[in-house]
Amino acid sequence: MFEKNKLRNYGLGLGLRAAIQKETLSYIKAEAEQSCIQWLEIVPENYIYKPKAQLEILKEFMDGGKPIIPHSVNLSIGTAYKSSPRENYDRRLLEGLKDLFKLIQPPWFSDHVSCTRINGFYLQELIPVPFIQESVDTIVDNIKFLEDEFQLPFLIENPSYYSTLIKPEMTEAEFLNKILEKADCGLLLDINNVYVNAINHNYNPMEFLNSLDLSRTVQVHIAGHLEDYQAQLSKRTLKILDTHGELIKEEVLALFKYLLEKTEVKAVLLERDSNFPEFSNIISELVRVKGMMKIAYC
Amino acid sequence: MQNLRLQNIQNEILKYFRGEKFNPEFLDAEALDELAIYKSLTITAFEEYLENIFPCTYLLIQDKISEIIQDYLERHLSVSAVYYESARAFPEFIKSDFFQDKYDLPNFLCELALVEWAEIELRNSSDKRSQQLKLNYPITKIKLLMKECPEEIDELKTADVDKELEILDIRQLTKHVSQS
Repeated sequence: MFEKNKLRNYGLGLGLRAAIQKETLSYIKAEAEQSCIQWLEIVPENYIYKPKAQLEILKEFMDGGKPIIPHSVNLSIGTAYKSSPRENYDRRLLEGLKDLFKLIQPPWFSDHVSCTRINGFYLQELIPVPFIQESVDTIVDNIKFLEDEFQLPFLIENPSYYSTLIKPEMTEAEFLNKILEKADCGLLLDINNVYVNAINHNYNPMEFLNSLDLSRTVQVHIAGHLEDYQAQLSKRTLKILDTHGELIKEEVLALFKYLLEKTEVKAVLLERDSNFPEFSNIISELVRVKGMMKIAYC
Repeated sequence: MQNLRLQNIQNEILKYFRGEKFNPEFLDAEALDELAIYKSLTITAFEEYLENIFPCTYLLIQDKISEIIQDYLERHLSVSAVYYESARAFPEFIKSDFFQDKYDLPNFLCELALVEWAEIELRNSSDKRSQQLKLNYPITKIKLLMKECPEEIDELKTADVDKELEILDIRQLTKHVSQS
């Protein structure tokens, strides 16, 4: 049974990425208790099937007292299985993750509501899943299988999406709520994705938040995005592309503030995956987010 | 099957990513154009990755990079959850008849990619024994030349008429590097 109140507060974290690994470690060591970075998030798929040297880096952060929380990209909870989730899953991936989790001892694990693997092939993108009952049932079965396999609470992340693929049978919020309830799992709410989807699909982001079961929100992602994106193979121009490669926009920070007023969250993460600025700029963003959390929870 | 509709939709998505003919019964033209955004994003991400993993190979193919990546990904979708492994088949792809027939690029390109991939494998492997690669071209010298004399890269690209001539050209160029 999902019990949010049994999970401890982790505070503010940063995504551990190779491009900023050294600066992150130096900052944490220099600032010690004063550090804005209270925990680190990793994409676990980047740390499996690798030599010990790679894991030593994680140990260095853990020795510094920083918890490591994994956020997957390839558990593909939206993939339609043929006979059962167990038969469908990539055993090599699951075993790799299990070994990693033994080392980092995470409080939970998570992935996006999306499909990244079809018939054994990884598509390397978060492909949307149609908002239909069949998808809900499939995702719920996959989550239950994963929770049973890893014996850890699982969080779903609301993804940014540029297509609904087919005519939806329900709204995005109804879709996510059904999964949360039927799978009895937690929510990793990406507040930037809420904004990106609201603009791209013409809805009010605050109304969306009001219609979502926020009581299950454990973790929050906050990030920047790119405006006016023209994909090379598509005729469309996207109003917003979710890049994690820009500064957080004021509108997204306003939504974050709104969220903090509505529910308690256990962990907040600044996601920066590309177009890295000077590390001091990342720290400035963290300081600002930390200030907002302090005001909300004092 | 309780999720047959979803399976059919996802099978069509896979076909689209592999450049295969798809069934419009499950996904309409609008959905396909939207999926093109995702396909474009995979190409962009892979280009950044190739530039890191195969820096010298990349310099020789960058004029046609998007087309080459699309061709590669359609033929070699990864079966590994680890992103870096998605480039494993890239040297083999360069060696393929399809690539050789379609792209007019230097004959040593495949060996160059093989060496760059071997370096990555060595870096990521827990087994640090060196690999023995049988090479027909002086790849180490070519890499050195590309690093130290980037202005010679265009000459390298055009020196591919005949294997013998190509080796001679490269030797002349590397001689230039060693003298400079």
